[in-house]
Amino acid sequence: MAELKIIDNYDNVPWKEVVQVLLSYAYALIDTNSIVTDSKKELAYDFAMSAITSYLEDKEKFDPSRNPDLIKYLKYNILKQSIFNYKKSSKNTKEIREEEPEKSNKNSEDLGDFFTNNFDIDDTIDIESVVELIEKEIENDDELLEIFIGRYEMDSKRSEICKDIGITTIEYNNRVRRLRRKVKKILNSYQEFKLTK
Amino acid sequence: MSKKANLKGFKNLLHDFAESVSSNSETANEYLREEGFDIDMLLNKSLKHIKKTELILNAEKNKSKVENLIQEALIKIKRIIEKNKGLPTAKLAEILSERAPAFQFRSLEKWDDNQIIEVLEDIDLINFIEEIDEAN
Repeated sequence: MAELKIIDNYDNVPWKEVVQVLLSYAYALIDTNSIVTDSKKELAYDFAMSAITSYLEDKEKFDPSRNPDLIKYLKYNILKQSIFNYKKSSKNTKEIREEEPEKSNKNSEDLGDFFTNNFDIDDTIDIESVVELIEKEIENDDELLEIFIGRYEMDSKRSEICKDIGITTIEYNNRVRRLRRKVKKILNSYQEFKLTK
Repeated sequence: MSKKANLKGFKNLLHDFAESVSSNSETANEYLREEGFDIDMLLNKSLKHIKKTELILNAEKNKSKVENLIQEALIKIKRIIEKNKGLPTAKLAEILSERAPAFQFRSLEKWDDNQIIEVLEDIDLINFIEEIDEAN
């Protein structure tokens, strides 16, 4: 299924689809980080709804001439920003801090650097040990290895990886989802291992 | 490879994970169910919240539009009364009485702002402003 984009007809937004997309984006960002200790499901829902409410209250801030995709605006300019702000203050107050959405509409590739600069990872995770476990888990799965090497080792952009190995973004996302399941299993067992130590 | 470079690469992957599970509603729905969300309940709740928010915002926007029109009409009426030129006050009274049955041809000069606003709240303001502009 193709990526959800809303590039026109902004007065008839398919909110049912948008809510699910925003909720899963928020939850996936929160879920990979144990710094956030509040109920992650409730928090993800609050982030998603807060992003939609912020948009509805001030639609003029969304500038389609910069990037017409409302989904990207909601994800990157509002939702993601709230999560990072929350994390910064969240070592931590429980309030979702609203800040002025950025004026520029970022695209998903631009977001890469912003994300890596602003996203905190639980300090207690030994990334190298986790990565070792991931490499071992996928050593015989060429499809996942290609993605892993491109993204983790080479720090390539997604569009570059797709071009290099000749796959669509849909296929890229399918592979990443498979990889996520494996990594999540590893991260969970790693956390459990730490707790029992 | 330095640990810093690894950390950036690891964050790249985490961001890709979030992107991959939220690329469209079907994928998102599958992911949320897998993670134990009661998605039907949340959708129901969220759509109600969005509808309510839109209704409140629209009502506020309309209220503010009406308030602006009332102020515009009030200024025009007062200008006519105070300067007593252009549209005669008798004509103004006639235009008002056509629209507001409560308006009893009483002398407009003696009305205060609140009384005029009370009449203006019940009439088609855009039409009224157009007519006094034309007649003035």
